Amino acid sequence: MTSPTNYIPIFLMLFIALGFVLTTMLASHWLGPKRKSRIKNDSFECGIQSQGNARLPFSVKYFLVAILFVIFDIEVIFMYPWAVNFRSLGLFGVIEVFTFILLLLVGFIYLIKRNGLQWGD
Amino acid sequence: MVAFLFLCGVGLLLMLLEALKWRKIVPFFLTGSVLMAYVLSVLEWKDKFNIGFFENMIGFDKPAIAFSSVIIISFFIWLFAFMDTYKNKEGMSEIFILALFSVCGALMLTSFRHMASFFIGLEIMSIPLYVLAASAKNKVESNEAGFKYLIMGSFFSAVILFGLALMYGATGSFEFVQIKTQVKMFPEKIPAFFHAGLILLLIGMLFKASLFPFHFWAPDVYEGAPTPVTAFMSTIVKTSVMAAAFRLFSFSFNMFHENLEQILLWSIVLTLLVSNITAAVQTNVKRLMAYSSISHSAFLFMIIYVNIKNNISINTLMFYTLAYSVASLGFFAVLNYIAGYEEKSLDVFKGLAYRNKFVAFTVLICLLSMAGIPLTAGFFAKYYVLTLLGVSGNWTLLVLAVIASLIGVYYYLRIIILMYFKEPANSDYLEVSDNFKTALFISSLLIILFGIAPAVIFEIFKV
Repeated sequence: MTSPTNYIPIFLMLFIALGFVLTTMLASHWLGPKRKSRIKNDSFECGIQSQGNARLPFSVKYFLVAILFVIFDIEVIFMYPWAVNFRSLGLFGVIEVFTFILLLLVGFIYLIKRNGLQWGD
Repeated sequence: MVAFLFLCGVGLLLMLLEALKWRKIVPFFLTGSVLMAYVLSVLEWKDKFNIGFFENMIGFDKPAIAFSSVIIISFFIWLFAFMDTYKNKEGMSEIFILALFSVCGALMLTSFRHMASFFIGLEIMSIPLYVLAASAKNKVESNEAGFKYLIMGSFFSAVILFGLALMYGATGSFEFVQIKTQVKMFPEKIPAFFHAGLILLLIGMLFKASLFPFHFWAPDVYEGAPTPVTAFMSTIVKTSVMAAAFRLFSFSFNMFHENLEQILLWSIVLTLLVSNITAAVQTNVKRLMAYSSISHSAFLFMIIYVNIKNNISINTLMFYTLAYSVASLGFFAVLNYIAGYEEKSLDVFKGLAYRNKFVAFTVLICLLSMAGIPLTAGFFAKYYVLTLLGVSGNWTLLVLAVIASLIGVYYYLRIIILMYFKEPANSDYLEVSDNFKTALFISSLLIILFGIAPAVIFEIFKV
């Protein structure tokens, strides 16, 4: 049966893990040499000099495509277990999966008709 | 069940209608379908109690149908009240489709029997709401409201999920009925973390119903969201969350009352005090209504609190949600009609009675109902709650509830005084459209009908 004492190993592990991380971090902080210069503080970009700010606004279309990709990717993922169990599920499985595809198809039609996939203006 | 599937199908069809450029018929089609769904849901009333669908995930027993009816009626009034705001505008169909999908999730929340259907219902209801809250795209406040709601809502969804996971780990079952029997048969075998899971679940539900100390999101989100969405959140969403909380805590886990009672009691007491006192000093009308809505949540949770121990009545909860939803929709409809997105001061109601007598009278009825003045539905809703508290012997809570309603009367009367005894800023006659008039007529009629003959609803929906 579970009782609070059963968790002692977990807490022990937690303490050891935290202690190890803290010790190494503090040790490297205290023991390591420190030399600071402007070039050393720059962000490292494979030896090429970095240019400009990384926080640029970029087109919302990338985001849209990423989200849409997730939805249809998930659709395909759901088909794998169906394909593996195709025989044992039989007609029931076919109906269920086609209902699922139909639901996503409505979304897909909506997407195309609302120009969701059009890249230009 | 038929009504639920029907509404889901209608949502898909509306998406196709919008895509195929038949946008014009969307409002008519939607209104007709909602009416049809109401008929379908009432027709199921005579059905047997315990038919479960989808491997016993969803079951439309009598309480579920009663709450579904309240939700569908509210959605019907909502459509009429806010039709003109969106009609023939860019993004009209999106708003209606998202609201419809949210209603589908709400119906699922009234009828779940399985942890999965509970959580999926909660998410189907919430995710369209996050989008709806941010639907005034070019207003910063609306975006902020949507973002805040998304972050807080997903965080507390995670809390609920963690609670469900702990409970599953403790009992090895996803179905609420099975968990209940298992706990009843072998109470000594239930590990301690089951109770932790139950409390996490309670905390999640308290957040969704915006009770103290999890209420801080409500005023900000209610204020930032467009008024139609605020109305949607404070009526349909609240009804479904209450139905879900009732099913969870009064049906499924009522044997753990000693765990839940103290938390609920303190939460309710503090909500009553904090929300009413804060509402009394508000000058922003939407924040005022948000705090008023939080205070009504406390009243609704009182029913659940009493029912946890001695399972008396579900009708009281249903009557209260119906009375509150109808009054709230009427009020928000008028607010949306007379004030733009930026105008949030209480002064928008100044001298409304001089500009249009009918509209002002409807607001009067709605506010009196929310305050709980006799001859309105709100009076009987409060009366039944207080009776319930008296019968079960919770005298301290009863006294506090009465004091809270008295403070409530003060801030509702402020708006009434502004409407009837102050000169309007511009005294032009306020033109009203037919849809808007219909919504106001239905809501005020229902309030007065249930205020004069509350037994009607108890006879129709005898659970």
